[in-house]
Amino acid sequence: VITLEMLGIKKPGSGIPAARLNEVVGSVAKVDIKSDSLIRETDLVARAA
Amino acid sequence: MSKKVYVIAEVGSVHDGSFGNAQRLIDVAISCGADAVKFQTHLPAAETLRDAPMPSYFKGEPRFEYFARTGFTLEQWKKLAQHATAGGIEFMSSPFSAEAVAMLEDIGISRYKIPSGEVSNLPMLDSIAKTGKPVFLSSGMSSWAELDAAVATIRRHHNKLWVMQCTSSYPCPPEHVGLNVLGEMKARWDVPVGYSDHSMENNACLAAVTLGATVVEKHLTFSRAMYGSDAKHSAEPAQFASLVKGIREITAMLENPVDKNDLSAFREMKEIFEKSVVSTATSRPEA
Repeated sequence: VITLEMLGIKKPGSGIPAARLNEVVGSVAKVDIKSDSLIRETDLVARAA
Repeated sequence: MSKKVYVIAEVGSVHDGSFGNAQRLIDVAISCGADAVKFQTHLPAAETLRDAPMPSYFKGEPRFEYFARTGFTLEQWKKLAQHATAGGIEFMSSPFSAEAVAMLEDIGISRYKIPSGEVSNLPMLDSIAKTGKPVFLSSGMSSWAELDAAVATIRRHHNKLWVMQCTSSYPCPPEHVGLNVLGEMKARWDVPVGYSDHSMENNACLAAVTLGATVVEKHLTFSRAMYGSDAKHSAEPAQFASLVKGIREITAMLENPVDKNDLSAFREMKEIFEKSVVSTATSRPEA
């Protein structure tokens, strides 16, 4: 499970918009996500909402 | 008149009676981008008693003699009008007497500007309105009641009328410009409004255009150092050209409202300058 401490807000603006940070907290990685990289929607397991 | 703001370069009598200077003033008005160049048709014997009180700035030379010396003949006026027309600019001149109206009819002007001092000269306004030609009515020293009477006089004959906010102070400080009056005039008579400027800078004209003035008038001179009552409060050519450029830009702004929801022009900017959620640690799928 991805926690707030594992996330940052950085350029560029082509990924998940910074305004949606809270939506990423609590999601689960579907693939390996390297440190210091953009997170894609497709990297995450869709949440049951 | 299109949406384009009509810019009048008021050269008055700053030519000082020189026909050559008058021609050059027309040329300068054209090069500055003005839509009209406006003179003043003073016929001193028809408009003033010799012992009438004069404004303080006429202390060097009696007003009667100044206007007699700086006037042109009918043939000269016609040549100036032709010179303006040939250069693609409207020739205008303000009358200060019924005799001047008759002269301007002979010259063949197409529209009339009524100076502030003539607003209460209802007999002259009536003779102007009878020509059926469009009228720009100034207002620099008139009350609402006096302006009501002037507007009614014109409207007895036609309704091709612009009313212009103006303050007859030389120079006019920002505190006396009266931007509020533009909207009040528009509401009072349902007319297109304008602004006739006697301030030193361009800001009042630009603000007036922003607030909906469709015609702007400002004094133009070769140099503020020239002789005469108007030169020291007039715009020199560089300032006047800058005024016209500013007015055209404000018109472009007003005619092109921006839709904040249309981000098509900013897609690349958003990618370069905005931010995304990034990882600061390695994550792996859970087993």
